[in-house]
Amino acid sequence: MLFNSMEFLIFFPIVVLIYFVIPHKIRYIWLLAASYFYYMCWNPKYAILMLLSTVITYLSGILISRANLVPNKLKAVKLKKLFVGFCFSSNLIILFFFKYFDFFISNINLVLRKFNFELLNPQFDIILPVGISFYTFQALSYTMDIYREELKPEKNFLKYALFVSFFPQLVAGPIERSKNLIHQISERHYFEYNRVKNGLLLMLWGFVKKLIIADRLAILVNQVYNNYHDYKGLVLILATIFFSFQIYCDFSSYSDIASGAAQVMGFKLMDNFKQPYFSKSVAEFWRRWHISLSTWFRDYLYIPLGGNRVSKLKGYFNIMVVFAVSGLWHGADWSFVMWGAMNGAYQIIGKELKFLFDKAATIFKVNRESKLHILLKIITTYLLICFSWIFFRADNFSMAIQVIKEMVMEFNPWILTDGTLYQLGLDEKNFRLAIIGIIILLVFDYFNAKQDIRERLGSCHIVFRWSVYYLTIFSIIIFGVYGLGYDASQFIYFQF
Amino acid sequence: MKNVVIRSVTFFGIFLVLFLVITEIFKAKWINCYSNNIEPATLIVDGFYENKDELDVVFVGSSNVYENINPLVLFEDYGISSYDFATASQTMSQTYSFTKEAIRLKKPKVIVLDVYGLMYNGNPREDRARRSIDNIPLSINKLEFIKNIVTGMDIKAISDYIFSIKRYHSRWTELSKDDYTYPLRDKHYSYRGHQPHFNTVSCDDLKYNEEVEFKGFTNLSKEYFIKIIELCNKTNTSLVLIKSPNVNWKKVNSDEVNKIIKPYNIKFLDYAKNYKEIGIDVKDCFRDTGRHMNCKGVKIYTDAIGTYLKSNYQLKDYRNEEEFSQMKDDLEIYYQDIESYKLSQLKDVKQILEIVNSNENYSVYYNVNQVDINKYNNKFYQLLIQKGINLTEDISGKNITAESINNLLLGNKGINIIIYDNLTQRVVDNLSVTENLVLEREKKVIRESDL
Repeated sequence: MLFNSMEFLIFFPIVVLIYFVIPHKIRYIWLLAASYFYYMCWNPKYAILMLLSTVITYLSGILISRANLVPNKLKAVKLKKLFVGFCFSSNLIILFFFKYFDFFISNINLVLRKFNFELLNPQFDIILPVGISFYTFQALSYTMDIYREELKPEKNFLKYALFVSFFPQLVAGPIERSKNLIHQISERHYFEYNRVKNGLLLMLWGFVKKLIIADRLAILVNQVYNNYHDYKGLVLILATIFFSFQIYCDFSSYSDIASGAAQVMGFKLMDNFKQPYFSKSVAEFWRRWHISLSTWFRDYLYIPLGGNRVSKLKGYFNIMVVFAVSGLWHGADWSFVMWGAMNGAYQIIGKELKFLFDKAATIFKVNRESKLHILLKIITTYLLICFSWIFFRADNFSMAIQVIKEMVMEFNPWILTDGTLYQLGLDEKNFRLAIIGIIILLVFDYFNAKQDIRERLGSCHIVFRWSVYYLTIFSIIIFGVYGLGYDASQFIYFQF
Repeated sequence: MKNVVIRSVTFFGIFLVLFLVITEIFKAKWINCYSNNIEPATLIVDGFYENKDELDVVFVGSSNVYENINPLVLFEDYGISSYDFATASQTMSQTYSFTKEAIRLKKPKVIVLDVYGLMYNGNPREDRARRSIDNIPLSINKLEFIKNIVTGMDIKAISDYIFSIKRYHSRWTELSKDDYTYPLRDKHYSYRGHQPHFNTVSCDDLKYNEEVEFKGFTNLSKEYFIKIIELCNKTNTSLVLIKSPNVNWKKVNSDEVNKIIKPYNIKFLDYAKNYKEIGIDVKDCFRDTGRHMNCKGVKIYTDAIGTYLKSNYQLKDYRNEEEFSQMKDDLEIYYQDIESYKLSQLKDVKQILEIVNSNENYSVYYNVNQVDINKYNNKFYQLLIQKGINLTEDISGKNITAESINNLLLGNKGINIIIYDNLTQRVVDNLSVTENLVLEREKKVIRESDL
């Protein structure tokens, strides 16, 4: 059940209506039932895996907290580590099997082929369960927080199960922290007009980004990337730029719809995107992009590795490990590892070259606070990130290299004026609408960074306010890419 | 809380109104009754709901109905009030829904069903289903209609039919003037469901007795065919089965129909078999290769049906009824269309202009392109300027705009002429004349939306 499906438009109002009608005491049970129903709409069998992960992490949490009671501290630590180790390894083995097994076998076969050994041919038909990377990471964060004694274990299994399966953020994030979400499950949420309205507005903006912008850009991107041998130069550059906005709109729209849906029911999820393309450095970009994942890796991988409180070289090594693993989290292919490593490398190179930039700024008396300088930094950061997206979008590493080659081998500015642009899957009107969509997105991000647009809108006259609502709703209905003949494209992040 | 409820109800009320308006604008519209390719399904269906007349006979089925039976002829010759409530390639399940809707709304004395739809297998093609469903107002019948043609309980497909905007929203790139004006227009359809064709394509004998491989009609077709029979029985509506002359319909098909209807007391008029007896000549009565008839064939065939209906049912003669005065105007359009077609076939430009000048419904627009008008024959010139409006003149206030005329003009060297019919509001001829009065025509389909 995708967010942009008819089923969700029926499912969500029913869930919310019943949620506010039934007594507070049993609301979490209703949400749990709704969440499992939502998840089982993809494939009922997936729910068994999620339940398994839930049981393991729930029991681990209780066992870890009981280990704290063991008088012998040394033994207590050993026991805790044992339980955490068991919890992490069992969850990661499940994740590995379903997500990385094929990748692993293909790499083993690559080595075996080199040495002329017989190739492995396992007879499994593995289908990646939707959202497995998200709920696994969310559940593991709970275990880690209990281990660090930052959180007390949740005794009510059903409430804990709801924390793992809460339907708005179940299949594509944000990856919620137990410290933020679990306590909200026990809180009483009343129907508050303004909160509900703001939640719906956030969902609406999510639908604009997904249906009008992302899915429209996807048409051109897919056309060019799926037939990359037929295109050169500026066409590939344009497709890559479009992809940078497609993936941003796609993923952030999902987060917005998730946060908005949760807000309607009284839950506050963490921010997942904060105007990432206005970042002035790659490091800043990663503080604004997919924040819930970045902070997860920071808290549960980077810091345990030693973070930056180690030697410079070890620190750089830690960065590379975190970004390579982050790449692998996004997809089981070397191109994703390369994408992650590239982002790590950008940051290391940036740190290494910092003294050079500082020196140059002093010599040339550059005003680093000037708007032009900031704009240049934003553009440079965007271009670096955009370049790395090639590896993300390409089907594999060799395709990414090929795309880059074709991109730089030919300079063909005439495609901007000879009508080629309108033969890439989008006709002239749709192409223009795609460009307008990107501009609206950037303008919206710019003003939203200064003040929440929903708040600003709330203070306007009702006629203006409602006009904006209707305009937005009907823009989605008319300009959205959906409907018969259109197979509602999967949210890109579902398979991660 | 009260305030919240009032606000919410107001908000959704306004939303609903806007939603319905936008749905109407975006709906695909088949409103050209002179098209050679597609039936004016929107006009047919909307016209049926708009029709306020008492309807004694409703014809249901496929193109074999709306192309071959002319209710205007039936009225003029027999005083019968009828309507062709049919769209292209209807399967029996579609026809069943149309029949149900016709009985619910009009309670006709007789339903006449052309059985050609029995030959269609399974569910209709989406475009054809849409042409029949889209303009039927939302009701339990419509929901049942949708359910009948959608395989299983596919929520997506069902919602696509209920909320047609889901299917048509991407038309925002192609909306025309018609899309905005049609919803506000009077939905009266002069031809009462009939789509007229005037051209002739002669064909060979229809070979009714030819032996062909036939495995019988599908169970689905038979199921809905029997449902129609039972529905008519239940509602005390007389049912007459017909088969128009059609090269695709053979004796084996008719035999199968007779077998199915044996337990029921139903009349089957098989004109596919008896077409010669009623006077249909394959040389000049069809507009394609033996499947659909032109206005000549339609007149003969409709009269044959009229004779049968008049002599077998107590049908009122409405010709002198005040409420049916509109029929006179509609018949005028029918005869005007016949005249226009004849006009468009003439090759003598002076003869054309004489007819045009004698018919008050025609306007003539022309331009003189790279020639000296003084070199033209004087009689021709006199005939031309008698009614002709040179496009260098101001034509504001006319039904047609200078821009649309200029777009349609052939632009040949010579005098380019457009003949416009003010009654049907369409361009009926588009020609150019050289100094030697040689006439040239471009064969192009003129769409209503071109105006």
